[in-house]
Amino acid sequence: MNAIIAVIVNVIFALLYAPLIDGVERKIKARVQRRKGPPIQQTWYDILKLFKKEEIMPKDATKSIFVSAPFMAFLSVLIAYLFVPTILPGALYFYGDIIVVIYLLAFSSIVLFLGAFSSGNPYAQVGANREMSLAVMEEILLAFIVGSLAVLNRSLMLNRMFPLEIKVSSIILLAFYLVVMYIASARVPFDIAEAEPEIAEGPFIEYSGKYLAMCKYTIFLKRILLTSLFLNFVLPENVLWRTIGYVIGVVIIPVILAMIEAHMGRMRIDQAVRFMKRLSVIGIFAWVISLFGW
Amino acid sequence: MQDIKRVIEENNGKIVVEHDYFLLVEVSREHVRKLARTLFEAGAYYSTGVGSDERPRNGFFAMYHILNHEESKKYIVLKVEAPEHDLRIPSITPEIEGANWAEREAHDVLGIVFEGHPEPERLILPDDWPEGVYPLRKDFKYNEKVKPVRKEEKFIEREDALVLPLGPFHPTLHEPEYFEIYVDGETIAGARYKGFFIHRGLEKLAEGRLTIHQIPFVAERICGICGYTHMICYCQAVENAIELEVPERAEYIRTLLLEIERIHSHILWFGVVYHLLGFDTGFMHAWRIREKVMDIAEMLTGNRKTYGMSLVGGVRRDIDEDKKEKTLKALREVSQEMKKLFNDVLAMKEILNRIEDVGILPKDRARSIGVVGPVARGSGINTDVRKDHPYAAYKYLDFKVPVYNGCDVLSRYLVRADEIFESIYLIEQVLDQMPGGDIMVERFEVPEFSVGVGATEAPRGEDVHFVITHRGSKVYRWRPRAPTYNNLPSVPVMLEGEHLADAPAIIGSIDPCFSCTDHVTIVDDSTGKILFRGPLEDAIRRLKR
Amino acid sequence: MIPENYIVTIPIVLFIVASLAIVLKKETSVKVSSIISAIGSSTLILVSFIGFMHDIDVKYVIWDANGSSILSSLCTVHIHIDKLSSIFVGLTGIITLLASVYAIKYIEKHKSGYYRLLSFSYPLTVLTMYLLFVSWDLLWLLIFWELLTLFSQFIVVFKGDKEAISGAYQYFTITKACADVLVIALVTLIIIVTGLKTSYDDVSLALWAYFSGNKAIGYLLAILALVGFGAKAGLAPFHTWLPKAHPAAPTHISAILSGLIVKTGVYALMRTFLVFFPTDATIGLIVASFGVLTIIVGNMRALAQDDSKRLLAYSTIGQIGYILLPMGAGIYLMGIGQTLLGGFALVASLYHTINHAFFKSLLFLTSGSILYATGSRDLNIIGGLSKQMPYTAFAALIGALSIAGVPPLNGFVSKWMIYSSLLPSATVISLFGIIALAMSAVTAAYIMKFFTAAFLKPPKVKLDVNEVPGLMSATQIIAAAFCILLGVYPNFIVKVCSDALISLGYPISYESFKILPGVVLPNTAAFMPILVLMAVFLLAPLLGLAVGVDRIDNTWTTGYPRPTSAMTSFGYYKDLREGFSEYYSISKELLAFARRLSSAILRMSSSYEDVSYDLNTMLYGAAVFLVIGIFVILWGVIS
Repeated sequence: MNAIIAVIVNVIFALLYAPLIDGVERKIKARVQRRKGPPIQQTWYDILKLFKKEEIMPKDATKSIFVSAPFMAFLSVLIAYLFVPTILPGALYFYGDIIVVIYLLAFSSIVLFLGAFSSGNPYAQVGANREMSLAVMEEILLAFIVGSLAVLNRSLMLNRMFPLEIKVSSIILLAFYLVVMYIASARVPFDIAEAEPEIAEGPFIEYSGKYLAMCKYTIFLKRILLTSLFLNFVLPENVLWRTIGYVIGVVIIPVILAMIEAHMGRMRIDQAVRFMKRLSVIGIFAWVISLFGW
Repeated sequence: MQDIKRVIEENNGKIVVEHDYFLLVEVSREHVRKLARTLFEAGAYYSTGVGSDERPRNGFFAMYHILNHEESKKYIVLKVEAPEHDLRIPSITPEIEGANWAEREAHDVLGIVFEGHPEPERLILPDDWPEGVYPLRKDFKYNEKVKPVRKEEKFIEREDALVLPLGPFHPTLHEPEYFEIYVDGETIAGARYKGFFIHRGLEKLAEGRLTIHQIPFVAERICGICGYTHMICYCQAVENAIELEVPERAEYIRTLLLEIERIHSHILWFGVVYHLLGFDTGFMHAWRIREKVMDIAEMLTGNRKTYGMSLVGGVRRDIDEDKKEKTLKALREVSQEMKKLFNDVLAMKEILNRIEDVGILPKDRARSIGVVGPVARGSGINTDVRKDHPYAAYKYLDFKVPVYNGCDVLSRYLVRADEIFESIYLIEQVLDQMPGGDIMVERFEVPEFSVGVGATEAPRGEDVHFVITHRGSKVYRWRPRAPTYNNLPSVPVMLEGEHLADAPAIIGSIDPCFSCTDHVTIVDDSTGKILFRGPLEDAIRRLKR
Repeated sequence: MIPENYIVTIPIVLFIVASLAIVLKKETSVKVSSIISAIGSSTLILVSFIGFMHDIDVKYVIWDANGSSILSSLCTVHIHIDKLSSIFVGLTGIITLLASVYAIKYIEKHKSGYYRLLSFSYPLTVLTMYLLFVSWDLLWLLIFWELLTLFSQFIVVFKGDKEAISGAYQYFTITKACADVLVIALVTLIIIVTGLKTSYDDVSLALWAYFSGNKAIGYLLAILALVGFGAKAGLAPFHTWLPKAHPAAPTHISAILSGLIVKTGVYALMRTFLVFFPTDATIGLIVASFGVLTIIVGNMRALAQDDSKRLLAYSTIGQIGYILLPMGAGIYLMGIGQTLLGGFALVASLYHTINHAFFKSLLFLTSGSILYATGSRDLNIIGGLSKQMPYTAFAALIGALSIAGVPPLNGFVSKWMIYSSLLPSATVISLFGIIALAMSAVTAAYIMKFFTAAFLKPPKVKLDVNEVPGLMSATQIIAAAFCILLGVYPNFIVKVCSDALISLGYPISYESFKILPGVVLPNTAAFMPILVLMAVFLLAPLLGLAVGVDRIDNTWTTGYPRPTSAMTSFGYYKDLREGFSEYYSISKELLAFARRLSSAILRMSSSYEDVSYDLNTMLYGAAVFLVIGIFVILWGVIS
């Protein structure tokens, strides 16, 4: 029963917090640009405003997939929160749950891909194409991380990995994970799929109203999920310290990432693919080290 | 100088007017092509072309081809005439690529048929304009309403690429234009461009309603960024036509304001480019710095942008001495901050990767298309109207013209960066050397039917105005040719084979000012040639992978 | 109750009767043959059920020959259905039932072809496949193996055009060439080891004993068996016939080819490595390595395809890798003592075999429906079919999501089992698991390419298309239903597979899996995780429909009033493929090398042919061979 309550609290926390921290990030970026920036609650206002707007569907679209896709993506990321604790250290653990989390994240990309193509818009097609290429490369990198973690801990259950033991391989894996997390959060230089000046919002171009709100919300939730996963790997088991650490971490990490993002320009998709290919070398290296248990 | 005159006379050209600035050469229809070709080979490039209905005067239609021969520091205007019943002139486009649009425009508005033109398509008139109605003819009233004609448009669908319509409402464009980009995966296989969404019929307006002294204010409103250049260019065209000398102080004031406009235009461009590359922080900082320049302009003229300072014969208002200090101080700050911004950005690898070796325009192609300004200087061509045909106070001032040989977006970037600092240096000289005296010539005669060419170096390149005066303070023909007009045909050339993601940066690298412009071209990527209708249709029909 | 031997015989009779339809006229003969085959397939399902419950053992004696020798083995057809065989027989029954029903309407689209050849060979193909699965004698296995190759080649060549003929030819040659290697392996095996006994029981007993003493020759036999059976399964690097043969065949045949006939190779490999050979870690490693290679080769190639069927054919190759990798890994893990994970891997392998049969045949059936409706396989020009063919689109979506491994469909279950068993082991198997996980992203990518290119993106050429006839649609929906069922209720299949493996003597227990509280097996955690995941699938469309659409407008083309456009199929993932350009160029290099090798062999064989005309040389050569052969036999008999 305890776990169920913890899970419910965690999910609600994630839902409330994800747009809020996005507002904080926007504020930080604005300050770096010497602007005042919108208030922190602005992202929440935006989502609520979108809920009130009308939903328009293009006439070339396939309705069944078009209307389901944003919700599927949203729900699949939300369900991943059942297995990754946020503010309270309780979740539904089971063997192989880390694989399920990876699959759910991949699934959200796949379903957005389907949604984009179901709209029939040429910009959505270009954007979805880029999104899928990025997702495949991210999966390859995540596969190395998951595999190395499994070898390191001789298990595939997340609660055995929260937290990780302090070893050379853990440190390398965590650093590697941070890079992959940055890429998977669709931040500049990797916001290639939605590049506004280039392809006018890409996969989301035909979505409006509640659907667009869901699409954006999914990205915010995904970012917090990845951040929470990282924090779980490093925070101690003691409940009090963990909660304090988590609250600090889940504020500081996005702030740092936002500051990095403000100082970078966008990459091209082929440059990004090549970059991630080179990263996978680190992945192999990390796995080898984990194999020897260092 | 003598050489070029000899070349002209040897090729059946008759020099009828000789100014400091330009030569007006009459040539017959049979010889115009050869003469044009010879002049091109002698180093001139095609600046623009103007069609004119001169039937009330001598019963002929005329086509003026304006070429810029930097070496002899002269504009060479070739005038070819054709009677109304035989309204055909041989096209010089096969000889000089750059004449393409000018001839098509003349056809659109006057009905002159250019024989041998490879692509006699409609250029500036809207799709639903009826055939056979030529708005710039003298018998067409400026406020005449025309009934639109429905036309069935065939939409292109390519078998080997995705057709991506870019515009007229696209986040990357700041004005309505239409680029149809054919994308294979992420590579651009070809591009089609259609413009003139905001053609406002200013030329007809000038002939019909406006006087010679009102046109400067209309000219200033041609562009949202470089309006003052147009104003000056027009004034210079008229002043050249009637051989009017403007007082020195007025020249200096004009120079001062022109350079301020150049600075703010370039900084604006940098902000836009950073935004297109995803680096919004750079965009915000650049525009913040630009505000200081706008404040200077407001202090000097009373307006941030539309200065309203110039008239034929001089400038309208004077500059206070005590504003000098404030101007210099602000410019120093701008210089420092821009230097810092540039250094920071050039250290960012991912930005450099997006603009280096991207959007290549080879030098010879640049010459034959006739590109101007930073686009030309970024491809290794040393051309600048301020040096080649010195106007205003430039003949007294010292400055460098930055030329880079990279032929890519980075080169054009560096050209504009250097120009900002050169402009600041120029302003310092102007404020230092400004003489006293009048700022305006109050009375002057305007003889009828004088031809004048005015040219300035706008932030975007060479801006040319062509004027033929008329009796009673009117204008017989006025043709403003903005620099982007000459630069746009190079965009499809630069786009071919590039990544789709680079398209906004490439289009942006010519600093397009569509308000000034509006015309059309189609290019095929695989052969690199500007395609005309026949080959284009064949290319589309061919089932190739 | 009808005695067992009759039950086993009924399908045989039915299929032979079906083949007699050759006497009828063209299209009718195919239809009749299909209908009767469908009935036969149903009986196969029945046989498999009974066979699973308790083993069936039937002997057909052709004529009585005394003693145990090769001749006597040939005189008796020994049929024994154990749990492993019954799984495969059941698969055969269901898939061929669907294919036969599908064929009834599908055949109408074809204007020409070798109809009678098809109506004759098709039931015989199914028959020989059935007999292959149930025979309990090595020699008869070989005979049915060869017969299967023969008849299946005939059904591949049905269309009679250049593609079909060259495809069938490649299929025949490679499997024949490899089958010849196989023959040598088996013959050697029989002679040396068993002392001329060929029943499975004898073979496994003898080989087990032999192996401990003669590891080297054992490994050699393993490799020969791997190559020989693997070629039929589509194992890399012997897979090259598959992408040529599978697309060329008519759709329901492609479904059977990918869904079942490659499974005969899998079955033979399973029999060999799980039954005949003892559990040896090195063999497991070799099998797993080939499995990983196959995964990489198949999936990477599929990414670059624009032909719907070729894409699916390469996908089959990749998925066979997903079957062989856990098989080898399971053997390896068992060999080094990790029986829990090893058993799990073996169960995963069997489960994936079942899953693949379903979702691959489903996908092929849907691509056949596309071909039926539009006349094209080219993913570049077709598009937007979801509007006009909604049932096919739905079935294809289920198939695509299954193969991508999306929960709660069947592909996810078997893939999850594969990763769970492979990743935690502290050996190179874990690296193989990582590669498999990485490649599953590639799988998702290319199958989404298939689905979106055919059904979602706007068409480049306006096609007037209707939904396929009800009969074809129904088979697709049923296959999709199986995919869903196998995904949301996995315990049943896990139990089936575990029982099958237990019956082969492996120390696995279904109960023991429960200490891995997992997404697959409930009752250990407080909830059933797979149901949670199902919520996503059901809740999302409901929410979507509840929100609805306020208004429909033109597709946004940034203000210029033109119709929308579609991406080309070869434009998909261009940057990704360019990122992997090194991989693709390696395969080009290898291909060039293989070509040089094969031309060298051709030159050698033609020079051999020249020599063969010389009688003296031939006689000397034959004499030498005879001497060697006698020597080998004597040595075997003596030792």
